[in-house]
Amino acid sequence: MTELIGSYDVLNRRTGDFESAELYRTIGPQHARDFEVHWRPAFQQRRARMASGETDERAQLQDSHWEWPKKADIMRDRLDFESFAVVVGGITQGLLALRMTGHLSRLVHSAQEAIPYVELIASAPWNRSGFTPNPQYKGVGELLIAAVISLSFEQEFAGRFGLTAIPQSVEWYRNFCRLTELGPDPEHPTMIYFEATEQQAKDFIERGRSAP
Amino acid sequence: MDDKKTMTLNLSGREMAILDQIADRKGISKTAIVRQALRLYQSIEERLENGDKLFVEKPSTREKSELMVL
Repeated sequence: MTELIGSYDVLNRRTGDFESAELYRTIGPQHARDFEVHWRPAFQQRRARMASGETDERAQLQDSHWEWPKKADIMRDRLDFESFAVVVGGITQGLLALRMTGHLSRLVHSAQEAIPYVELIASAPWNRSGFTPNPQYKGVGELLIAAVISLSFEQEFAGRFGLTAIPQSVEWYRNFCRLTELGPDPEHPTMIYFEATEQQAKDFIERGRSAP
Repeated sequence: MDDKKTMTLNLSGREMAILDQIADRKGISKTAIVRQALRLYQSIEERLENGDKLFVEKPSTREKSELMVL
C-alpha cells in the first residue's frame, strides 16, 4: 500500500518558485494512472515531433517503453522490491523501482556483498531538458535517489546501491550524483554500471542538505 | 519509513548461534538478516510457484544440482 513519507521542496524552473513535492513509498494506482494519462501521451507526442536525425538519447526518450503500471503490478506485495513516487501539484513527477535482493556489489573492497539495485528510475518527461526546451521541475531525480539512500541505510546496506544507466542519464550519475563508474554492465554491455559507496551516499545527502 | 511490528522469535541455541555468526560476518543486525532471508524466501518461492527451478553450480566443474526449498 502506498505511504506518504514526507514533503520536500523542488524548484519549478518555469516560475522560479519552490513547490512542495510529496514522496511516496510504493507506487500506487494513482501513480500508474498518471503514467497512462500524462506520461505516455507526452512520450508519444514528443516522438511524433522528433527532428530529422534526432536520437532517442538526445530527446531523452530512451525509457519511453518502460511499462510502469505493469512493473507496479509485478512489485505489489513483494518484499524483494521497493518503489517510490514523487508527486507535485497532484501529478506524478517521478518513479523508481528498487530490487532489494539478488544483486552483489562490484566494488573491489565490498564485492559479493548484497546491495539494493535500482531497476528503473525516471523523472516525468516534461522535467527533462532534452525532452523540452522549457523543463519544469528540478530535483525530482535527486529526491528519488535520496529515498534509495535513506532506505539503504535503514535496511543496513550502509547507503550503498547499484544501477545501470541508460546513456541519456550517464552524465547525471557521473557528475551530479558522483557515483563510482564501473564501466559497461556485463549484463547490458551498451550501458554503464554505477555504484554508490557508503561515503558517496553520505556525501549525496549532505550536498542536498546544504543546497540553497 | 514503514510501520514496524515487534515479535518474539523462538530459536534453538544452535539456530541463534548461526544467526549471530551470520550477523557478525556481515556486520549487520540479526533483524536485518531475518528481513533479507524473508525477502529471499518470498522471491524464491514465487519463482518456484511459477514453475522455475533453483540450481546451485560448482564453479570448478560447472556441475549443477537442484536446490529443494520447503
